[in-house]
Order: sequence, then C-alpha cells, then structure tokens
Amino acid sequence: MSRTIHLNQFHHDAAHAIGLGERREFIREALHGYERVRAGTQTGFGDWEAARLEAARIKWDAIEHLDEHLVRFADNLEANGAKVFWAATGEDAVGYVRSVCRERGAKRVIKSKTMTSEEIHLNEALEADGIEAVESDLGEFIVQLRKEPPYHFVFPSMHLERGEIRADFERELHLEVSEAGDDPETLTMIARRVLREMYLSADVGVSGANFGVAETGSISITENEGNARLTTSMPPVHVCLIGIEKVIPRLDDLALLLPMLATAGTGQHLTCYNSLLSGPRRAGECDGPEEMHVVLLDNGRTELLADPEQRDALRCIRCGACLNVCPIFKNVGGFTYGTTYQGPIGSVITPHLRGAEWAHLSSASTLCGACSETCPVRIDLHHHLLRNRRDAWNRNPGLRERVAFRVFAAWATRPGLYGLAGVARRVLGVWPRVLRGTALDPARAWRRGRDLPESSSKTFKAYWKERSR
Amino acid sequence: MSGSPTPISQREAILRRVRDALARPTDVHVKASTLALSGHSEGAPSASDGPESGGDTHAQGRPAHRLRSGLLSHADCVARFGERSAALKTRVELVPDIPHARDLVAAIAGKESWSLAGVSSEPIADQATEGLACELWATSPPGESSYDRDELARCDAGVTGCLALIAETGSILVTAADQGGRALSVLPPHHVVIATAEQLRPDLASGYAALRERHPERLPTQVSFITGPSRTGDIERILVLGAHGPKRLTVILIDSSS
Repeated sequence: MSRTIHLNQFHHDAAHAIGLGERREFIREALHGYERVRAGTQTGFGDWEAARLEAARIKWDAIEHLDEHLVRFADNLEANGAKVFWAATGEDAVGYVRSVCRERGAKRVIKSKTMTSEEIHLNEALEADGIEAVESDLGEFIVQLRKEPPYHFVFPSMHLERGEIRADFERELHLEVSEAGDDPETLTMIARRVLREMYLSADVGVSGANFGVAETGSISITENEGNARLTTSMPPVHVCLIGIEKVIPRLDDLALLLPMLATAGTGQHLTCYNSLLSGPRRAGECDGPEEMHVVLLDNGRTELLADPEQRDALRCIRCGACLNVCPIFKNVGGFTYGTTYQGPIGSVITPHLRGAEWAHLSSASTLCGACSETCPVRIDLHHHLLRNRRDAWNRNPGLRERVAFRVFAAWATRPGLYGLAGVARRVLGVWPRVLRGTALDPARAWRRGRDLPESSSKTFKAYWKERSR
Repeated sequence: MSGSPTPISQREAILRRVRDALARPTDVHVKASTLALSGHSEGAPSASDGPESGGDTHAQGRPAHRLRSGLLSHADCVARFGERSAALKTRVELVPDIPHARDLVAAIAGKESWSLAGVSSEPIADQATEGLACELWATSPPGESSYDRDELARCDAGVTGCLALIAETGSILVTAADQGGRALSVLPPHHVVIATAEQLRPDLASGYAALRERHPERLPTQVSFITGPSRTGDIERILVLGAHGPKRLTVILIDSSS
C-alpha cells in the first residue's frame, strides 16, 4: 500500500515542480553555477582521475573492513573520554539523545548541520519533550523557519529567493520592518545576531560528522560558516550523530578526502573550517564541552552492507555533486523525492535504508551516467539504479509490464508489424493541429505532459532501400 | 556522565551484523569497475595496504592525486600562501620582526577601535599585543582553569598564534591546546593570527605531519584548519563573509627575510 502512496506523492510533486517554470529555471541556474565553479576548482588537483581513484580506494578499504575500523574508532573515542552509543535504529538514537538532554535538564539544543538527525527525525522528538531545537547552519535555519525539510542535502535553502527569506525572517523572527532588507548580507547578519545568543545559552550542541577517524578516535566536521565550531565549543554537552559508514582508517586520509569533498561539494579547494574533535575538554584546556557523546548509527546501513553489489554505495561522502548534475533532480526538484537524501545517491540507498516501497525512485533516472561520472569516490550510481530496478522487478513482477514486454517483443521481432508502427507514428505527426490534445487525438495522453517530436518524412527502412539501390 | 551506558550487547549486535554482511564477498564486477582493476593487479599497492603511514607519503615526492602544489622553495610557499589568501579574502601582512608586528596590531586596533582584545597565552601573541591601547583579556589566565564566556563574547578581536600555515590551501592550523581554546579563534568578529615564516608548510599532508610532531601522543580535543574568514552562500549563492565566525581574518607573517 505504502508503495503506491510514495509513488503517487512522487508523481504529484513532480508534476507540481515541473509546472513552476520560473522556479525551475532559478534552481537550474543555481545548479549550473555549482557545476561551473567546481570545474574550475578541480583543475587544482595534479590529476583528478588519480585523486578519485585514490579516494575510492580509501573508502573501499574502510567499508570492506568496517568492523575493524569501527572497533578501533569506538575504543579510541572512549580512550579520549567520549561516550559512545551504538544505535541499531533511529529510535534508539533518538532515545539516547533524549536521555542525555533529560539528564542535563536541557531547555535548548543548538544544532549544526546533520543529515543523520533529519534521517532520525530528532527535532520533532525533542520538541515533543518541550526542548527547543535550533538549526544554526544558515540554510537549515531558513528551512526550519519555513517548517520545510532541506531541499538539497548540501544546499538546504537553494530553492528560495531573497524576498521569500526576508518574509520568513519578518514573520518568524518578529523583526521591525526597518531592520529588514533583502540583500543576502543583511539577512545573513540577522541570522548571525539571532543565533549568537543561542550558542551561548544552549544546554546541548548536536552535530553530525563528515568522517570518523579510527586511528585517533576523532570526528571530522567540514563547514564554512563556523556554526559547527561554535556548536561543538560553547554548550556544556556535545552530541555527535554519525552513520557507521563514515569511519576511515587514518588521519592522513583526510589530506585527500577533505579537498575532494570541498571540490565536489561546493567547488572550494578546502572549506572554511575543517575541524577534528577528539573528546570532551581535557585538563589544561580552557574551554570545550564537559561531555562528548558519539552516537554510531546503523539504521539500515548494515542492510545495504549485506548487498554484495550495492554495499559500494556506503562509500558516499555526501558531497551532493550527483544531485547537481542530475537531469531528473533539475526538473523535479528536491522535495519530490520525499527522502532525507535526494537525487541519484538517495534513489540508490533509500530502498535499502527504508524499504522496498522506495524502489520507484530508481526509475526516476534517464541512466545518462552523469552522476557516476561526477562522483568523487567513483560510485557506479547509474548501474546501481538499474540493479534496484531489477531487484524490484524480481520481488514483484508486475502483470502489466510483463504483458507490455510480451507485446513489445512480438512487435519488434516481426518486420511487417514493426513497419505499421512507422505509419501510425507519421499519422500522429501530421494529425491536424486543431485536434491535437483533444479527445480526438490518439496521442493525447502523451501530449498532455510533453511534445511529440517531429518525425522524419521517410522511415529508415525506406532510406536504406533507396541507398542500396 | 549522563545517558545510560550502551549495553555491551548493542555494540556486539551491530558488529555482528557488520561481520555477517561482510562475510559475503563483494561482487567482483563492482570491485573491478570501482577500483579500475583492469590495469592493476588485485594486489597492487594502494594507500590502504600500507602500515601506519605516519604522514610520510609526501616525503617521497608529490603523488599525482594530491592537490597540485609542487612547492619547493620557501619563497614559493610564501607567494602561494599570499595568492590563496587573497582569493579567500584573508588579509596577509609580511613584517620583518615582532616590533613591526606589534605596530601593525596597534594600527588595526586603532582603526577598528577595539575596546577589548582576547589574547591566547602564547609568547608570540603576548609579544604582539604588548602595550596595546585597549583592554587585553586572556582565555587561559595563569592559575585559572576556565574563563568568563561573556567576556569572550565582548571581544572585538581574538589574537592567536598557530601551529602551522598551509601554503597550498591558504589555511591556518590551530588547536585548542595552544591557541587559547576552541572559541577564541571563532567567536570574536576579527581573528588576527601572528605566525612566523618557519611555520609555513607546503600542503595539507605536511600540515598533518606538523600536527603529529607537536602532539605525538594524542591530539588536542579540538584541531581546526581555518581557510579564510567565515562565509556562507546559502542565500542565492551570493558570498557573505562572517556568517557565524569572524568576518575578518588577518595573518601577520613574520619573515626576517622580507
């Protein structure tokens, strides 16, 4: 049942997004912008293809020996004074964070960007406990004010124009009209001022992590704004949510992975702040949290790991580059996916993490391969989409499709029948213009959503006959 | 400590699932295409096969996969750091010695009318702020274990040293152990770094090597590579500096050869 619910939601939201022409153009322009900047930055690598291969190998090793790296990571974190909680499910993780907050009597939690927390719906749970959860990444802050999920897992508010953001600020932050302007500088400074208070008054800081370094028992956070540094420095408790697949073996691996992530993600050589956090404040240090908790989250990742073909997708470093180049993402937009992780990588992993009712996402692809080509760790995304389609079919072979392919085979293997189709196609092509799209148009269903391309006046068979004469 | 401890079984249960999953070997086709094995033998050396590399890979020349630096001479490093910093909107000033650095800090403080400057307890930061015409405040005063956060929030600037500078990326490496804790380099609106030319390293890999050299036993609880002033592009992809961290970042580089 839920299969149809998600599929219908996808169709509905896709149609809606496609109908908003100007918005679509705005988003497409932004995505092209990311691509352009990235292409320039990529030349900063001595050999980009060699870099991809090396990054792929590092992450490959990390996943192939995940058990060893996880043990080492957790043991070293504990030796550094952090508390490690192993969460099998999202509910377990949420339950742990709630218990940490309860014991501190927390009223306010400040958060830096963590997709893992979106995945486990942490904010809703904290709010049900009467705890205010405040997002501090500017993009996340904006979509939180709008009560929207992130549009893109790297650029949460990329779909919004300044006027809309100004209106949100005025409404939700109760600003004097004189304070507001709609240039990005003014809006950013308003958020800066509002959030500054929050860092100083929050009881708990919640962050994600881009990598977990097994060798040193550290988490690595990549950001531009400084909000993650403040979130992990000012409150007395720091809780980090990290998926088990984020663990890498060595500190020195970061010397490659951090520039790769920055280049593929935002087109920077290196993002503004790359921080390593290795435990709570230690004797001899003058600040930092009294407690550090690291929640290691499974939540379906071992399901994906158990798939010998697709465990490969766990190497993803969440740079978001595959979204930026995806022709489907460009047209249907981020909300249509209905998932925490959008775009090609989301379509690949969501059926494994959340169940087969998300298998339809793998059909939302032209299989053009742009995602695989852009992936900095060489995940073969478009082939994984095909594998998902195959698996979905094997689980539940649909009668309609089976019949359709029988008919197709019968038609395509009989030259006489095949030739008739060419005639039919040309009839549709010359169908009187006034009748197109009306009830008298046999191609009405097709034309409702798209153009019927003009066909050549001559079939290939006729051309071939002529040519060999 | 708050939170109930993980029952050991929870950890073991997840690890068992991981091991069971990995017991089925990865599909050979996926492996071959991902790791481009056609041209390599399965046993070809990869970064992951070596022992603890300890950051020595960069010593054998610059592998093709690294960010291109090819920096050899000290002058090259200085020039590259300057170029990268300009692109990042970090202000870099070369001075020949501490007294000149001190004059420069005083000039900046005057221009921006600082009333309170936070200073890390490092000799180089202390020397560069000696006699500064504004109130000085230390995040780690002698004999005290912590500081007043409201004072920090009042600071017009944070003045620190650094562990290293990275020429290739224009980055500044700071740690909670030496640079006045975690917050001094991120909360005040202006971060002023006093560094010496000897602290320049060509690339990130050598930055990690410098970190290990200074902290061979274990890392300080916070280490950060700072690459330009705080920034965001979350509104219409337009760059705004000072999203949450410093709006301005200044590096005063003391180079006796300058």
